[in-house]
Amino acid sequence: MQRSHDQYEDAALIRAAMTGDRGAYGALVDRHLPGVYAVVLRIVCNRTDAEDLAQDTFIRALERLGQYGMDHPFRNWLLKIATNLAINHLQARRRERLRYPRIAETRPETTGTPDDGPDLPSPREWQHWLAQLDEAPRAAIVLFHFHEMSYLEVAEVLNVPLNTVRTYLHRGRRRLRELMTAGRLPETGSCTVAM
Amino acid sequence: MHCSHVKRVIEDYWDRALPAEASHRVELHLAGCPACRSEFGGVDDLLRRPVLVDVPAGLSARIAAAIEANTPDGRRAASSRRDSSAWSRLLRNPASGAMAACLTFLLLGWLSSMLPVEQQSGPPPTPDTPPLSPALLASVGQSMTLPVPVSPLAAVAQAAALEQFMQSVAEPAPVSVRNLSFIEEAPVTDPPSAAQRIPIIISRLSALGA
Repeated sequence: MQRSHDQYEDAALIRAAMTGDRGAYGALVDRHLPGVYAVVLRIVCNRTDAEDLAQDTFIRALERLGQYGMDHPFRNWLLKIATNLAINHLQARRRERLRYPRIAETRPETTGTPDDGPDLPSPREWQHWLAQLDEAPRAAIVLFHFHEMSYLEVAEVLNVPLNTVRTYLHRGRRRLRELMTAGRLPETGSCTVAM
Repeated sequence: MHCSHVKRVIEDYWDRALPAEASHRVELHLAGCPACRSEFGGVDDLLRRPVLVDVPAGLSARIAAAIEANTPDGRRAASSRRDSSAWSRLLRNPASGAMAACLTFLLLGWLSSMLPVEQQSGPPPTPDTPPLSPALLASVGQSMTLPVPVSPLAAVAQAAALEQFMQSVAEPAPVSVRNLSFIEEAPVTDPPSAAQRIPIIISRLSALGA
């Protein structure tokens, strides 16, 4: 019910934004920035990159606002743009790391302070586990588990069939179990994010 | 619930595909079974209890500014700011300023080499090529309408050559009469035309014969 109400409000703002109402688009940004930022941050595991990617997401969404068909939730359409940008960014970083390993190691990392209970792994650690996954399974896990999307919604955002989403999730979770069971520490250069 | 059963359904549990009651039993088993907690607990904690993410302060305003800069009005303003700021950066940068000074000297030197050594005073010299007269322009236009296609440059060259020829026939260049002793020297101000020179030659030839 809440989601349908949000979609109704989004539709009114989108129609106004399409006519050039910048205030309406600013309202859309304020409504969806937390979700977009959380997705890109959990995928790329770097706060500075996540801020840039969030900005790029809303700029690109404004450019392509005419292509939004109102038949799917605006949130999912935004997250599709954000996820694609985040995955492309990770792939570019991976190529950079392979080509220039020394430069990749000197990239600045952000640190944060854990604020969870003693039973939970510290935020620093579990983001490191996530950073060990490939881009597609990582994105699938972030969208499905952290943003409570359905299989169908994840398939739409990642633009893959449902079976592929299932494969991504199972592969990603199996990999996490292997890493956690083996007790392997993440390699240097992976994310350290303030959560 | 047995551990083997949990291992069979754990993926469905994480997929949120189990009924509520079955999901609750798995959750209780994971909380109470050390073996299953060791194998599945880490992933279960990671997936089921994510940490909230706070949006950094100022990010919304920064995005609004970026969107404004990306609009057509914003891009025009940014372009003018970029142009002016580019010049100011150029002036402030010592390296680029030195390069600009060198280029300026080179340009001035090249320009000065192009100037003639002696500046002549008085009326300007007669140009080597005749100016474009209306007849010339008309001939160019006529050549352009010929059935055989003629390029504009070729048409202009042809017309200039034609006009020069026509002028030479109508007004022959003044003949130097100093070396021809049997021909009376013509007045300097009015060079004799062909028709005027013929009687003079005939009279002189007659004088020689007489």
